[in-house]
Amino acid sequence: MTEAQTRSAARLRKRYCAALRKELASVPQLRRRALQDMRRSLDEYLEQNPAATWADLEGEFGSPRQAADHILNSLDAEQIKREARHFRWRRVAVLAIVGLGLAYALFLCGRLAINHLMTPDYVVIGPAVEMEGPIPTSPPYPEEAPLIW
Amino acid sequence: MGISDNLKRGVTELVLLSLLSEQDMYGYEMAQALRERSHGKFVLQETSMYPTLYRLQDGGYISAREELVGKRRKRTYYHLEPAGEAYFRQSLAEYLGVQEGVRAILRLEGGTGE
Repeated sequence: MTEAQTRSAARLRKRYCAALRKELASVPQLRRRALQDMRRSLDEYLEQNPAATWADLEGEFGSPRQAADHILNSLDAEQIKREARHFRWRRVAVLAIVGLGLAYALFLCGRLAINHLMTPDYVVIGPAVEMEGPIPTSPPYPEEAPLIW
Repeated sequence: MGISDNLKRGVTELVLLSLLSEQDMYGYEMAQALRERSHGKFVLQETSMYPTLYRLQDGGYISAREELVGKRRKRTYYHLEPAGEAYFRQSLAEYLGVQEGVRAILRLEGGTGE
């Protein structure tokens, strides 16, 4: 295989697997195994047919949609149930994460609202008061204390 | 789904076990072997084999091992376990029994169908 053929084969393989991955989105557990096997078979085929095109791949393995249909059609009842269970858990996990995110967002909004009501965003400056008497000679704070600006 | 698809589904397990009873094979090799042996009459898309292979593997009838081919390419070889051999014999007997029954129903014994 030349360098160009290797690159082309890698591109074809990647494109086919990406399309198959999308088609098998509903069966995540099976998808992982099937994609690994599919990658290896594509490698075998492309090794034997380095000049293969996308049409050749579809001729050998079917289109990604057909390949996914073949996989789904070959599942038995137990495998379907297992996939459905896994899918349900994934859905529960996603809902829990979204719920927690929403609760946290609500908490933040509430806290901001309370802060806004309790501490207004303005300062009341009273009128200046003129004082009488001599100017103080000693500072109004202990001398040894550092002056922090 | 046509009748040939349904028939294929039914016998996929049997033909895969039959192939593996001869030697360890990888997926692509099995698909090619089926095509060659049936002279193109039993074309099983490789992806159709995957769920069956996983089912057999999960049931302990076959095992899988990875082998490195060349520098980076990997193959998954499937191997028939002793439990798989027994299961194959049982499935084959079942299949032959059913086939005999269907042939009798269709009155194909004489080859005329009448």
